[in-house]
Formats: sequence, structure tokens, C-alpha cells
Amino acid sequence: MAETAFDEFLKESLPGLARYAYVLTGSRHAAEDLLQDTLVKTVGAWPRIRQDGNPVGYVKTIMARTQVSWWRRRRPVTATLDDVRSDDRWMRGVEDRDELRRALATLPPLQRAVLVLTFLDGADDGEVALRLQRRPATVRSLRHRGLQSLRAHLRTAENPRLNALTDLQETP
Amino acid sequence: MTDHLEQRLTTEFREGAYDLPVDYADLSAAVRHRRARRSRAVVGGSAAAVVAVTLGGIVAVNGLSRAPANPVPAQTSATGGPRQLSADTVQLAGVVVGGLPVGFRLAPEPDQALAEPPKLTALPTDGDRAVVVAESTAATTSRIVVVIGSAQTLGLPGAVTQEVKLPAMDGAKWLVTEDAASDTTYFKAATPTGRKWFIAVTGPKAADRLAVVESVATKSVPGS
Repeated sequence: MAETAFDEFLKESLPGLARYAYVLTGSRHAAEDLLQDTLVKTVGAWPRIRQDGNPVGYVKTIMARTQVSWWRRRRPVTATLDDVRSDDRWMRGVEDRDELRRALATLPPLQRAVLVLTFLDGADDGEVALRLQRRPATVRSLRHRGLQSLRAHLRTAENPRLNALTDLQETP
Repeated sequence: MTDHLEQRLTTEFREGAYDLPVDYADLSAAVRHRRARRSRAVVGGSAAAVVAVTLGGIVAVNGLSRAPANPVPAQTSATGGPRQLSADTVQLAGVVVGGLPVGFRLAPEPDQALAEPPKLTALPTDGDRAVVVAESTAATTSRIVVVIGSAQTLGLPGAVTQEVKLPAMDGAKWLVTEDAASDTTYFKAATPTGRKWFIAVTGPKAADRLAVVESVATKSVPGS
């Protein structure tokens, strides 16, 4: 019975959960891995999760915690940018996204998770802290450092492009 | 361009191309398989315990507690001896140990197989032990020792191997070392359920030994 309910939940929620895993990891392979790890944990706790009344939120929390767990963080970082098409690179918007993704890929999982919970879920510091089992002050610090790091990377990425544009303009 | 970074992040996360096509049937089957393995392991194995050993601790004791070179028989056995299930699988302590190379079999005389040179420089003396040996001398590795459920804090000899290809391992903590002195690659892991693994693969080439360690660990440790 519990398995049937879990199956129904999984069928319904899979696209959203898979996307959440991808946003958290930035890598298809790592996302598939994370999704499977999370669901293995979820099956075991399913009766309790159902009673909670918000299974999707619960599973997302398990996923975020799994992603930032100490042992997972020790694993080598895998490729992170795997779906930006080269022919789109001429388009400024796509190029911006490409740079942002490259910058995001440099962040430690915990900083990335804080940004995802903040800007995707719209969670406040207290909620992020609760979900990642950190203190609110730690969350603020992690977000600040994450944003700072992203800005630094984006500035670095922007300079060569500005130089290239200048060269083009100066070419007779 | 970075003035509106927070807005860009919101847009990226909410509208970016992060859709991940996942086959429901495959995923569901994989999840249930891993869950079933975990449940079997908990039932058949030793009681779950909180793992108190950190990787740093493991590395720190590396070299401090070299086991004697002479083989020592296992002191306890929770579920009787190991059993060959198929060509690449044995059962040990109620756990299926898979990923063994083709052409290997359980040693009929484990202590004798352990006494064959090169001798291991680290080996738990408790837990459930299986010694698997190559049937042919042409095999790239000659001996695989698997110990499950040791309560000892054993330091692994040799240098820590960094480039190990292992999946998530279900949260298990692991360490791989390469000991040239005994032509052996050592692996140890502690799973979230408290089960401890020790694997030693002996053979002339480090790359071959590591490949066997990766194969056995990947097929056996997650979910155990």
C-alpha cells in the first residue's frame, strides 16, 4: 500500500524533483546520482513523510541535505556545463547564461545549495538554515561568499568579451 | 552586468534549461533494488552502529597499526563461511559481494592462500572473511580478500590513492591505499548502517588491482 502511494507520488513529482536535483548539482550525471540517493532514503521514510503532508518539500530537503553532506562533498566535481549549444553562443543572452553557469559550477555544493534555496525556492534565512541544518548566520555568510565569488567570476569572464568588442569596433 | 546578479540567479534557476529526462520505470526499479539490498544487509548483518571513524582518523593511523605479515584466522563469524553464488559473486555475512573478476573462486584453504607471497601487511583478525583466488596464473590479479564486519580500527599501509572511480556509495566513507611492498591495493569503507568493509587485492600491476577494487566496491558496498 505504502509502495503504491510512493509510486504515485514519484510518477507525479519526478519531473520537478529531477529538475531540482539538476539545479542543485549543475550536472546531469550528478543530478541522476543525487536523485537516486534521495529516493532510496525517501522510500525508507515514506510513511513518516506522508504524514507530514508535504512530501515534495520533504524530499527536496532530503535532497539538499544529501547534496551538501560531508561525504558527498568529498567526491570529485564532475563536468558541469553540458547543454549549452555552441551555435547559440552568438546570442548574448545565451552567452550570459553560459557564463553564469560556469561561475555557478565553481561554487562549493553548500554555497550553491544556499543560493538555490534562496533564489529558486524563495526561502528566507531561517528556512534555509533549517533545511540545511546550519545556523541563519552561517547561511547569510555562505550566500554572501557565494554571490561574491560569482561576481568575481563574471567580471573575469566579461573582460575578454569587452576587449573583443572593442577590437571589432576599432577594426576598419 | 553583475548589478542584477540576484535577479539573474532567480531567472536562471526558475527558467533555465534544467529539465532532466528520467525514465520512471528505470529509476523506480533502481531505487527499489538498492532499498532491498540495504534492508537485506541490515537484517542479515551486524547491528547498525554510528560510525565513529573519520577519514582523517583513518589516514592518521595509516602505518601505525600494521598487522602482522603472518595470516591470522578470523576470530568471529556472524553467518558461517562464505559461499560462491556465481562466477563473479560470493555471499559473505549475509551480504552479496559482487564484481569479482572472471576466473576467480573461493580459496578452499583460506589460511594457506593468505600465506602465499606476497603477504598482506594489513588484515583484520575479526569479522567475516572471504579469500578469493585466481584459478589461472595468467590472471592480472591473484588474490582478493574481503572482510566484512570487523570491529578493529585498522590503518591501511601504503600511500593514499587519489584517483579512484567510485560512485556515491550510498554515503559510505571509504579509503584506498596502494602498498607497493605487498603488491596490494587496500580498500576500507564504513557504511551509514555501520557495516565495515575491508578489501585487499593483490597482483603485479597497480592499475589492475585498482580496477578490481573499484569493481568489487561498486557492486558490493552501496546499500550494504
